Amino acid sequence: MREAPDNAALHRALDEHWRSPQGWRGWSAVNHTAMGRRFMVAALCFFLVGGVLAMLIRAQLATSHSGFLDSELYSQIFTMHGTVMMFLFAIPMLEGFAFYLLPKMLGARDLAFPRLGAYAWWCYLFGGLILMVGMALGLAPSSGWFMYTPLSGRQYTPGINSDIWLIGITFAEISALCGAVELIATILKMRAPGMSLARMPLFAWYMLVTAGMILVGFPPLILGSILLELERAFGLPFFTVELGGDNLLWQHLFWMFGHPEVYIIFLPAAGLVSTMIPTFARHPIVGHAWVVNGVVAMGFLSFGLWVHHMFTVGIPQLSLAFFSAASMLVAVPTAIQFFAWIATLWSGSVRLRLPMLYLGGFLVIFVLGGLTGVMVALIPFNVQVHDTHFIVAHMHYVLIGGAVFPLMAATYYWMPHLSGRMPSARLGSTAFWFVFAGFNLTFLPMHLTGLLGMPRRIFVYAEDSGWDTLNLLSSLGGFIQAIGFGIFLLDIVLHARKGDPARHNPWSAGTLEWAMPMPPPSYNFASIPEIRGRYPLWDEPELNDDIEEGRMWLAACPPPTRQTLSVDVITGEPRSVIHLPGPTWMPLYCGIATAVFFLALLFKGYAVALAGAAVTVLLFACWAWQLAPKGRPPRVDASPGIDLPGHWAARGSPGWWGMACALAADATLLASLIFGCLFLNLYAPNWPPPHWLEPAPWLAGILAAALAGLLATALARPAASRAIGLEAAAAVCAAVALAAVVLLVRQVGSPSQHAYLALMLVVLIYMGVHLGAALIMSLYGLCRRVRHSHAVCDEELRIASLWTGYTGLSGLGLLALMLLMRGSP
Amino acid sequence: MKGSGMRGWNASSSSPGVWRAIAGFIVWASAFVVLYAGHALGCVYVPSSIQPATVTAALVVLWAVHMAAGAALAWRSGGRLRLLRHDGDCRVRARFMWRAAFLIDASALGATFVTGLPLLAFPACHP
Repeated sequence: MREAPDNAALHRALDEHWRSPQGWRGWSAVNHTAMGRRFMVAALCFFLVGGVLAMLIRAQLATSHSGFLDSELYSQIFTMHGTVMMFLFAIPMLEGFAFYLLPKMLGARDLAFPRLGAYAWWCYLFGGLILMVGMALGLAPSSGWFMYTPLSGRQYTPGINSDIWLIGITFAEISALCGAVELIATILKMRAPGMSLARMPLFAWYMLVTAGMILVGFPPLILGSILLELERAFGLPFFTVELGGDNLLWQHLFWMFGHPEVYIIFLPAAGLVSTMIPTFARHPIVGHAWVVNGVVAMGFLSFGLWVHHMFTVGIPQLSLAFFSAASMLVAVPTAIQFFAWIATLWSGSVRLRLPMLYLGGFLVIFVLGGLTGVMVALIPFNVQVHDTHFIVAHMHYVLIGGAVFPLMAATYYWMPHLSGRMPSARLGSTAFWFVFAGFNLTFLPMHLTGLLGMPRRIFVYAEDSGWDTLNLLSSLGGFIQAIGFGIFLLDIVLHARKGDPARHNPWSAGTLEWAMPMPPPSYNFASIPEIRGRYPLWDEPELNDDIEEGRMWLAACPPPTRQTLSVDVITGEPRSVIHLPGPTWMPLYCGIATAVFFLALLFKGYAVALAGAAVTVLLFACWAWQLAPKGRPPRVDASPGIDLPGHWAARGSPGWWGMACALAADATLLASLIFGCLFLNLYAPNWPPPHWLEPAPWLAGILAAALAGLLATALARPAASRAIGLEAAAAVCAAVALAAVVLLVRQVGSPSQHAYLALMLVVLIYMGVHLGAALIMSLYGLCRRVRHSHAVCDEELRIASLWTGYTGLSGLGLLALMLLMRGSP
Repeated sequence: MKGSGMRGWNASSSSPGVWRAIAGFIVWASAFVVLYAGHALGCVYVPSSIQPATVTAALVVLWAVHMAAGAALAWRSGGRLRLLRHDGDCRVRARFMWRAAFLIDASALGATFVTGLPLLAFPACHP
């Protein structure tokens, strides 16, 4: 047993290393607690904006022929309501919870890439602000949050409105992708010793699957946004039917993202539910392995549903049936989780505390939303209610029931953890009943207006339609709901000042985040605990004292740097000590440079955009240079008798996982691009194109050889001893391939002539961007060898070779696609 | 150090990895993509005179191959789980991972079966 060090000195020394700067310098903080709070606060602000927009919609629809809003303004408002709630509230709020909670639940002192988390927040903020400023100037997008073409195209929306959506949302999506990479690397590699996957908290399982879904779900929309922006800005006809494009391509790309998005929102919320219910039932979750199975099943099946948003567009019957089957199937894993929650409550001894009230509301409302979900999975019923208010009602039952109620429960549950004060049970329950009653009054009648035939997205309806009473009820309900949310916010604000001080672990929870003082210290754990069960605080009630008194891992005093442990993915065996960076302005600088790039695109200042991109790349290179080890990282005394290497010297570091995850997202974007090529080739009218891209045999040969060479340098076993040779070879191959791609671009001719030529241009740009990045990485690697040759670790090479290998492989695949498409029907 | 007695992390090298644990649904995903894309490609490239029967037959074969792969995975993970129980192996980690793998394999097999069922009900290449 480790001798307890001087306790006060240990805490003081840790705080010196970990605390964030105060005042305006606090914006340079990168710690996960600060980032989680920032995400949550910003998302709450956007929620208020989205809520006000919802009230405007309900005010307009309260009576027939209302003159409150005109058609254009109404279109902007419902577009912004959906956009804000889906992109700027739901996902960032849930990511904020994950950022704040996961390291604390897993037994880590921070997330895997603190700077990336801070960059993600700046991207989210800047992307959201682009949309907000656009709305304030009356230039908000107005084509619906789904931005269907041709309505969102240049012909029908000639202004800047659609561009604001495409650029602002893509910017915000970068944030979600960065967050997903960060969460996966953290969950897999940064758990407490002994926390095997079998003992990992369920919330981490949910977030692992969700983050994986973000990596696969967001790239199709990013690709769609790029293509639509290229069409709007340069006339490349991806969605223009008379030039070989097809509007259905947009719908496919959008819903490949859009349907998994619903589960990306629901799963983290369900993870919060799975964490809270055992606490209030005082019983471990029933069917732990079944719940994990249900989460994994939902993660996969949710990607087989997207066409149920397109049942009426004329897709062949058999294909529709595949998607209908998958849409019904997804109810099964959802039900598994529901039965596990009910069984846990049934098996335990339930305490009806405030968060439990909201969990009850969730269980009721989400079941109703789920049932109508099964109804719309059936093709004949779906065709009847398509684009009616029935769908609006279903969607809100799923999203508010499935995400907002759990989020409100979670806010009350973890509020004492954030502030050290208890919420008011009286205000909290008052807020609940207002929201619950108002919600049902708003959306239950909407099922009927939908069944009576009221379409979505209309701003007026006829007096004799018979929809007045139901709409008036919905509007009344909306305002009652708004009062409930107002009381909820009031409770949050008041409790921070006047709430009763919370006792330690006020709900008697079993998860690790409660094994720390409240509000939490900057370093989370004075020493990192060793885990023996799924509910560490129930298994070892004295664990908190052992942690606080420095009896566990990484309790050296004074600690040399910001340190936390990296473990084996499956077993939770400690493998290395991660040295994490402290406060820095670098994420803000990178965020600003990225914002310059996007804003310049918005205002068609392409030279400035190129400069912004170049500065962003340069800053990222400086970022990597700052973090790379300058000397051989020493081994660290992690606990008595156990010294571990620094993370750079260990295989399978979080950095490797981060790169692997980023490439998974990249590969999904590529797969979406290939889907686009095949879809237009097979289904779009007005094919074949005026001419095929015919690369000269010598040029194709050189490109193939250079790409193969790049792949070979990646496959060669990375070793620091022959690093210079490998890096130089990779740089040469990348440069040669890049030159070949530039020559091929010249052969495309005028890409605005036909969708095929436009697609080929995008394929070549994709290859060129990857080759450019591979070249920069290789040159960066060479500089590292020259300046710090003694400090270069094999892991650096392994991470870089992931990129070069992917670039070589994907390039060869795209070259083959290009050659195969020539002369196809 | 407190808790150092529980070291023995390497004892359960028999645990399946993360990829093996989710392999069943990777097979389902492959089946879904192959059926959807195969249907689209078949209805364009197969001559219309032999279209419905040939395309349906090819898709049924592909479906059956995926079912067989899914069944093999479920059989294997079920076998490993039975073995752990039979040996009285109480290592939580290995048991949990094999149980999860088996549940996922079995669920995915069921999902693959249901996803392909429309092949038996609808003619291919019918608009």
